[in-house]
Amino acid sequence: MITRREFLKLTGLTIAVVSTPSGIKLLHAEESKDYRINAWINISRENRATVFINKSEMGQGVYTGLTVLIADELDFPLEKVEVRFAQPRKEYVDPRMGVLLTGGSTSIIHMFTPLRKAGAAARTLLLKAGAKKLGVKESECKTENGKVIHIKTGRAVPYGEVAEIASKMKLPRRVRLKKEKDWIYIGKPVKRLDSKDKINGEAKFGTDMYVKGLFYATVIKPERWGSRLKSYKVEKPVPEEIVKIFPISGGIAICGTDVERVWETEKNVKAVWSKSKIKGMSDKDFIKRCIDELSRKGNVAKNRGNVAKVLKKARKKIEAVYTLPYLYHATAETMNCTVKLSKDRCDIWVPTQAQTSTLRAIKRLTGLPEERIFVHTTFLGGGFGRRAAVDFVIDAVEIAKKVKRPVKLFYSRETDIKSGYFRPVHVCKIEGAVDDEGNIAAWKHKIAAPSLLEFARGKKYRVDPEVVRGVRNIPYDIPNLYVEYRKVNFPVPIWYWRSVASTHNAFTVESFIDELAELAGRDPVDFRLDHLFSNVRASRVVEIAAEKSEWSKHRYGKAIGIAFHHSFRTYVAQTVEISVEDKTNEIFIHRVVCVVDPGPITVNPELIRMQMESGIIMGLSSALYERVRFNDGRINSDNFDTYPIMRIDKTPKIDVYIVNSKGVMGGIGEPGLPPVIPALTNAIYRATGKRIRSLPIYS
Amino acid sequence: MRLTVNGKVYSIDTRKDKKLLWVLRDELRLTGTKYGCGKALCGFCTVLLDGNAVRSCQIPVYMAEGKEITTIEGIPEDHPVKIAWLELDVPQCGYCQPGQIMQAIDLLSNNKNPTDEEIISAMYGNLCRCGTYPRIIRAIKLAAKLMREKK
Repeated sequence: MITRREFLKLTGLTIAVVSTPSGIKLLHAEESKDYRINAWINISRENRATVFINKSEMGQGVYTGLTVLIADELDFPLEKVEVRFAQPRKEYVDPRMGVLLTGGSTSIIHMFTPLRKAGAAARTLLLKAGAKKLGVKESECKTENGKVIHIKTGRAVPYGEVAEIASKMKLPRRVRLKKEKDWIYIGKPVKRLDSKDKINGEAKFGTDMYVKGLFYATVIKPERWGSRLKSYKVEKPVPEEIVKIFPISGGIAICGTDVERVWETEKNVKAVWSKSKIKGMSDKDFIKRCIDELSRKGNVAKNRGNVAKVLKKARKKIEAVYTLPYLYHATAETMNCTVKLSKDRCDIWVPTQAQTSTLRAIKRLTGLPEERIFVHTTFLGGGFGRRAAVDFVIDAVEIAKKVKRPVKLFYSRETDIKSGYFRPVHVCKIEGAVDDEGNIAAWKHKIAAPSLLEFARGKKYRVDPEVVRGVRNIPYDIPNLYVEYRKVNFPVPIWYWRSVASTHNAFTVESFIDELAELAGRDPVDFRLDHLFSNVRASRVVEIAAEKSEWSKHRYGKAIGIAFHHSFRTYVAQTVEISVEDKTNEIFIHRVVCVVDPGPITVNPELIRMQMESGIIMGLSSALYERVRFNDGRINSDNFDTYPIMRIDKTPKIDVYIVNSKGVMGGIGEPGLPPVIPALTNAIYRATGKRIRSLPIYS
Repeated sequence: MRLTVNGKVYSIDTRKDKKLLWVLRDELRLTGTKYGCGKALCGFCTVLLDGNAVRSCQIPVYMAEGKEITTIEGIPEDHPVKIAWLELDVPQCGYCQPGQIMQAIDLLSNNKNPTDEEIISAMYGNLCRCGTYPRIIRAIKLAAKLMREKK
């Protein structure tokens, strides 16, 4: 942990930023009456706390979850806490990541101990300072609800009155954390701290930031990915609100004083791009290319037993090819950021999941030292991984450098889709056999898909772990398992999409489990449980899901499907109950039962429920509708008409059951999504006899 | 040009065909109303025009002249819809919620006791990527109940 003095040295000054409608006002911390107890906590003389969190709020609830961790140990009332997003400075890095980054369903897992320690350290100082002020021994005092209390006499002093003294004390080297039974907020369904501002329209997202004298900007993305700009010309007349049109590394920038006009002017720009390898390809062609590649040699990701021999001899065997398209994140708020750049300082207001990457990109583009770059994180109108990329930050900074004015880069929905960073396309072929006892004898799984990590990290991978995750470590007891990966890269930018590889692999594995169960003549639940024999947490969630959904009961005109998936250290089983209208084939989703085991601690049961609901609906949306369309290599999805996402009409009743167990703490933002996809398609099979092997269902 | 927003009269100098959404946001700095698609496909920009929900990304500002415009900022905190939204902690990322709330207010001003089907049909045009739909349905029912009890 860094000391307070080192922190001040690092940053020069403690600066708080307050956004006002008329622009940005910078306040020096010295002017407000805030005392910095440690990097994470300020307390004002009026006994209000400001808590700094190092994770981005994109809907998943860290604004509440992380604050609760601090406030619980601090013994401080939540209604007197103000939450701010931390700058990407050394003292705020996620200790397990080494950077500020929100992703991988890790925020609570990684910060659970460090933030409680920060709260406890502050409480220790305040207790000491409070006892001194009361003129009694520390051991005779306790803390409660933002006050230091002398136990015997009941005399109390609010933290605010001793915050200044506490802020000058040396941070304790060691702190004692509360016992579980003493937790005041952790484990309780604490209400979201961001609800009120979001309901009143007062929460500030990236698009809500304004700086005096700014230009709005957008970028025309390449007509096809994998091509470079050769030349362009601007057709007249150009609206008078347009200030400048010029090429940048990410495409062609348009700058002006009116965002609508900036977007409209895209049609005035006629660009010539170099030839791309994907010219001529439709979205079906990407799938077809991957299918073709299945017959080529890949790299072995897993080889247990002797799959070839067992498959050859087996009497009961099947094979299936599954295909999944590119997906767009479709965050509610399109990509945007606001940059104010001067000779010796850069401020960026940005809805980002990746503060450190943002900082490094700006450093590289401007040459400014890190301590002169200020990354002000706003609320994020959805993230789902998309906002861990900094492509749009680079666009904005390049534009700001050129126009020498503050710039608000704001993608229209159309540009947002064209900007790519999609969930990769994915194809796999699975061959499987069951033995005479009805158990899985062999499983051969070959994937042909782009490498996510090669794109994201710019390094080479023989086997991309972000492609085979969930298959290589398949949770079922399978004596003979062979997994192979054939890399098929396209020049389309790909990226982390909520639940990453699990969106592919839960669908393919859990569909094929049902196919094998049928081959074996077994019930899908029993079949799973028999193959999860040694996996107690997995079998338990499957059993409870079956029980809560009354799996075995007769359903007239309805059918039920089940799936299980373990991802982000959390175990989730879901059932989906549907009916299908005969004439129209329309699918009605009646009920989803979700059983989640996130490990030993539930920090906030209501936030877990929300994330399960959220994952289920996004999963259903992707399964039913989602596919990025391509035509002649061009992205042919423009907006929500050509990239439909689920609307309120398909909303099922969702029942979430949380079960805790010993073991490691699991993540929550992502694991609720993957299993619902195969649970739905398994239900469709049981209702109609039609096996869905290609997504989306409505294509 | 004079615009009446949330009961206040604003005198603005802007091009006449600018969409109401951008006048509200970029000129009046009423940023609760959000951009999502520009084509009336998502409902994030929903405001009330003389009490009826409209997509402000489709309305040239001159057409709103002389009408009562209500945005999320003009809905009091003790409005039953806002109370219900808070009670059920509906928002996740929150970006679509002002539009959802304005649409729900429109629904409840015409229908004191909507059924599930009526809620779904009224809210069909409002997208939510975080999947808060189950809570939106519950919140509208709660708000309807609060409104009936008030009377």
